[in-house]
Amino acid sequence: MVFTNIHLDIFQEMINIGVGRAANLLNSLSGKHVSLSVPSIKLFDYKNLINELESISKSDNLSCVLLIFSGEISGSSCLIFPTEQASKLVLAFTGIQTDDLDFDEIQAETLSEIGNIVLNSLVGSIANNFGISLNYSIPLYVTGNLNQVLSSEISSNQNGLILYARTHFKIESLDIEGDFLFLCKLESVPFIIQ
Amino acid sequence: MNIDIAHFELFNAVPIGVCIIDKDFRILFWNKQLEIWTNLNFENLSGKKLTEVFSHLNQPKYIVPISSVLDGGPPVVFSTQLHKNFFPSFLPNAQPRLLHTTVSNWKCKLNDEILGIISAEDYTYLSYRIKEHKRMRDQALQEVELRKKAEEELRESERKLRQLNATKDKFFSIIAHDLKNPIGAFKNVLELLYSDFESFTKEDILQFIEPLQESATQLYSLLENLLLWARTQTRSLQISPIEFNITDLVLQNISLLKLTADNKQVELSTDLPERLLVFADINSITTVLRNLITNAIKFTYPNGRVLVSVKEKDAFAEVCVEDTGIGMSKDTIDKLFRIDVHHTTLGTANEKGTGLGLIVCKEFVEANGGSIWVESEEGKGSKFFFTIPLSNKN
Repeated sequence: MVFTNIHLDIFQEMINIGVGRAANLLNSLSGKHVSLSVPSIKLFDYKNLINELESISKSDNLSCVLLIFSGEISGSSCLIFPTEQASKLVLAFTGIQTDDLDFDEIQAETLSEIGNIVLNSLVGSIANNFGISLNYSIPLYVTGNLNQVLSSEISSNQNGLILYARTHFKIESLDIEGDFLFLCKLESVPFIIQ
Repeated sequence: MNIDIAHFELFNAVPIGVCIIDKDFRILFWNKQLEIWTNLNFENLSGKKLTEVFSHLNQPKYIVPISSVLDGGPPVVFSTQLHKNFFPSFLPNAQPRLLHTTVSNWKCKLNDEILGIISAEDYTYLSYRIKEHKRMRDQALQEVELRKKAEEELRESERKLRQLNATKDKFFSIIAHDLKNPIGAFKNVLELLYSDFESFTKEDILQFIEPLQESATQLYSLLENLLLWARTQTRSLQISPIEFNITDLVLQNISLLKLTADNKQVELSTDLPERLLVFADINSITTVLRNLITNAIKFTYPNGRVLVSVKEKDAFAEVCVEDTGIGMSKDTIDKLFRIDVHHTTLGTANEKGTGLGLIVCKEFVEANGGSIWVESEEGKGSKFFFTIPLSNKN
């Protein structure tokens, strides 16, 4: 089935709803206002996806919580931000007052839970709205540059097209900025939209 | 429930806690590791509802996400920092065990029933290790900080020692040259006069006395500066700040030095506010003003000009003594306020200096909480600035 502009519009709307729900959840859990950019939806092959990822951030010190899913559509969803900001987010959630912004394994574990809550909301909303059931991995906490944190997704999609959605978010009062990414194989998307 | 529990027995061989529940939260399996951690035996738990055994799991923050997993939703994570006791468990020292818990689902192929798999990893020792690592890191940083401070103190002490040594050298140098030579000349002239007094005419004696008188004035000035400087060095100089009008003090000093300026045909003028109250030691500031104005006259050629101005700047009065004299090179400026470099220059009418005047000025200005600096260009004149704190009654 051919992926048309109508499919793209519907998909964008679903991402919009899912990210909105995830941001609301982040907002209510952190008690801070979260502002979102309009999701940008693009289609890439493997090589251009890597170029796109390089244009988002050249940092080698990103923290990412990754939720991989498979089933009627397969792909992954992730929450990404610079590691020093990840520490601030964890401190905001735990209410611990400290100047120590070192990101350790215990903070990484807490960030996994935060990312898990937010990503479940995003992916759960998309699955519910499309009326599909998915299989999910245990959420993964990964660090490195964008190519490293998304290596499993990139390596499993070397052939075919990838539907890519990116929404930038900001928690201004905590000086935190990051991205929600949603990547999935294009081939099955028109069928679930249908 | 048609699932053979024996299938789950392999979870008894793993070092993590595993509990398997059905969609009604009934416990189907409770592995050995959880038995050890919680002191609860599978035999006693089998078939019971997890939320009855652990009533805190009825709270929405637990039951809502777990129910969502049992409905086929994504796995959920309960971290040790946000959920301290998913499965209450304690260490031998009664401290709580930190369990990182994940709830995921598994669809049984025999009957399509979704089961909940709850796995718990012990993060306690990891957490201790991180805390210990951070404690050691903080301790190391503290030690580095202390060492840096000690090194800084050592450097400061070294700097003071160097300064003291320079002070001592300067003192000996003044004694050796600036005092010994003129006093030696005094002695020779007096010996000559004494030994052969009758042979000299009145005019001859006057010829001897004239340079002696000039030299005595210079020596007196040197001794005065030397004494002041020695008092600043031994901290015996009392700085007693009072409130006074800096304009009045400038005018008094101008009046005293007017004759010297007139004799050299140097125009002495002022640009002063009517009244500007400062809070400083009046004696030391008088010395500073007199030194700077005397220097300005000394280094200005006849028909030149010396201007003394005062203005308010932030919380200070800024005094400027400006001349149209010979000016100074950068190299000379660098030596001006340094005790460790001997520097003195003859005036435009060959007036001698002590090499101590500006050093005393610097000590005095700084003792009053101000600062002193110079702007100058060779052949174009100099501007000496100093600041002193304003009174809060302006």
